[in-house]
Amino acid sequence: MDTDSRPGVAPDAGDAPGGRKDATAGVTALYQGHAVGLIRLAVVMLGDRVAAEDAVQDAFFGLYRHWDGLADPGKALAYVRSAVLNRCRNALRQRGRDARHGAVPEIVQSAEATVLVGEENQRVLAAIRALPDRQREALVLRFYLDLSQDETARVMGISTGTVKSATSRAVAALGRMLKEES
Amino acid sequence: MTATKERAVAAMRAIGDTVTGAPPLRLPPHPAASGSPRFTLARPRFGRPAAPGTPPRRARSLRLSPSAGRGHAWRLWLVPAAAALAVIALAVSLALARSAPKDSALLPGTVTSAPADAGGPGGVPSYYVTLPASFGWYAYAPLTPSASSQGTGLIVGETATGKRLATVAPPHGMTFNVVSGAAGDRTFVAGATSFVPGKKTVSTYWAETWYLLRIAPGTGHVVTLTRLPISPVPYVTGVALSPDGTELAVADRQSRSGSSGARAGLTVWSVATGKALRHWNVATGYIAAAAHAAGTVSRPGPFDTGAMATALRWTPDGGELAFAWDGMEIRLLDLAAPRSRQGDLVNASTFRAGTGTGYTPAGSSFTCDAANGWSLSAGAKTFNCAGSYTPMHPATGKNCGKTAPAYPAIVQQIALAGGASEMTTLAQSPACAPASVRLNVASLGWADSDGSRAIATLASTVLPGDARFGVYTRKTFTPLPALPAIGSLAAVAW
Repeated sequence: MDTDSRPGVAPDAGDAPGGRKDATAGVTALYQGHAVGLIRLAVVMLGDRVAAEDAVQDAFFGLYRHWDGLADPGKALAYVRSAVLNRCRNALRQRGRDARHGAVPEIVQSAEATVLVGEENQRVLAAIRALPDRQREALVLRFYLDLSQDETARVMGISTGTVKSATSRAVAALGRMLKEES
Repeated sequence: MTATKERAVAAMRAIGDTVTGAPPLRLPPHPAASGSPRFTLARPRFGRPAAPGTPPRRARSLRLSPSAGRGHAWRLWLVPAAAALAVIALAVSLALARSAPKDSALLPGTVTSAPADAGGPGGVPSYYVTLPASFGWYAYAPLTPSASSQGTGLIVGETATGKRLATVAPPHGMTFNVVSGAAGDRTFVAGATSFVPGKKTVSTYWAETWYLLRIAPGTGHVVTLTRLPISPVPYVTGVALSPDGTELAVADRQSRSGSSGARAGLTVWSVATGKALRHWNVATGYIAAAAHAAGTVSRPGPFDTGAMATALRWTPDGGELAFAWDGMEIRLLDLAAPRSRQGDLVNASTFRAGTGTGYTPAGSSFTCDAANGWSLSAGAKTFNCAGSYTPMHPATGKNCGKTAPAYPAIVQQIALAGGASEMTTLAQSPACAPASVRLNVASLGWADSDGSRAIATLASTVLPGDARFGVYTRKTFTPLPALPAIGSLAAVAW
């Protein structure tokens, strides 16, 4: 793993108030346990490892800033998962805006990742990314993270019925897109 | 499970499985106090992070501090009022920007007036672009939002007078961190990364977005800033715009998926189309003018502007691209040679000059410190490097101070042809000097196509006011006014 010895960016709660120490410990523990899974989630959404890591880092930083306001730190994972999804959505929208303005940032992907994922899978992922936000997120949460409909509803802040219909529409739309391409 | 669903799951797992580890978490060095501003997540619209455990549909607000919900109703009034005020403020600021004085901050792509082309003294470029003097320090010590609004724009200035012609504000949410110029001194490419001082910490993971900056002094459009179609490049370690301004060389250091460490890459991008024209990489080693000690940071930081600015150089004719390698040598890619078609960066290039100690002309030894600036002449026949020298004999004389500088500053031009290393001194601080004048740091900002003329500084780490900044040739020195710029000349683009 790469190291970074620059001053000023490492976690440091040495002289922090007690609440901040808790925040540092809580956020760090959550990160250690779930960072890889969340980066995977963001990579699925964005297709870009660097942007995915950035989204997760940013989400944890947001959690850290607002740790004191969390009524139940035990539910922090659900919060940070929502935050990651939110950041992924914003990143995809930004890409869309850039594309409309003629500056299309291509997804930065290592050659190794391209080989590992495979061309066919890349095609499917591109189609997933072309889905509307709600459908894409429902699809990823339900089928990639294997969340239940209730859990997905909580993360997305919508009802269980809406999760059901969004997922079903996502699969149908995806089928159409892939059929049209082939 | 339907076939479509199976394909979706397989694709998602395939890309998800490429992630095998997470980088270290970065939290701010000075944690926000418990009494920091309360925040309220208003009723979550679709897609906003939902309140953990909040029942769907019934969610109205996520109260994250005991008093966060008080006054919620009247605050709703503030939304349209604030929007209206923002529109008025924007209109006023645009009107002011149109009529602002030359050194006022500009929105990206906006323009202001400037004096006619003054011409650089003695054949040096008329204009420069640089980052502000305050650049860098805020990166790891975030400012308050009010203080961060200043000092983050690019400065466009006039070499002869040192006068600032315009300040180009970074695009929203971005901070400029490197700039490189073409030979005509009117075309520059600036890199910006997603960072706003005072708002968040520097992310460990960052990518460089590219902007074309054109200056046209004396016209109604002094500065234009345009986003380039080049892909954002993560972990940039070096940048150099080709002399004709059509190609951008970018060195990077990217992680290898599924393993530790990173590989050095070098790509030549088309400025017009954003396409990658050439690419090389290598598994071990650094594209860097400064030597990397074992155990030091292996990922570059976004605000290491000096390193980014001294890693790559084009020869003045644009036919060759040189890179500083491992802080020990200058290697050359002859872009027309078959050898350069190899994908391995080291195999595709040839050794051209050494850096560090090793040059020993009669009477002294010269240490080339490429991190303080270097250049190659047309055809890579000569190599200019800033550094220091060690006098063969201790300086003596009635004007010498009690402690003469151990390593006086110097800028050398080294002939590379025929295997000889004949050296010509362009700038040199005297070995014998009063104790108060110790010019021990040389910095090279620009050199002409044959390397005989250079913009350089001889400075003192003890007394910065004693710096000798100007145009140096073998026999002459023409002083220039100080630049309102970042300390090292290496980070100034001409």
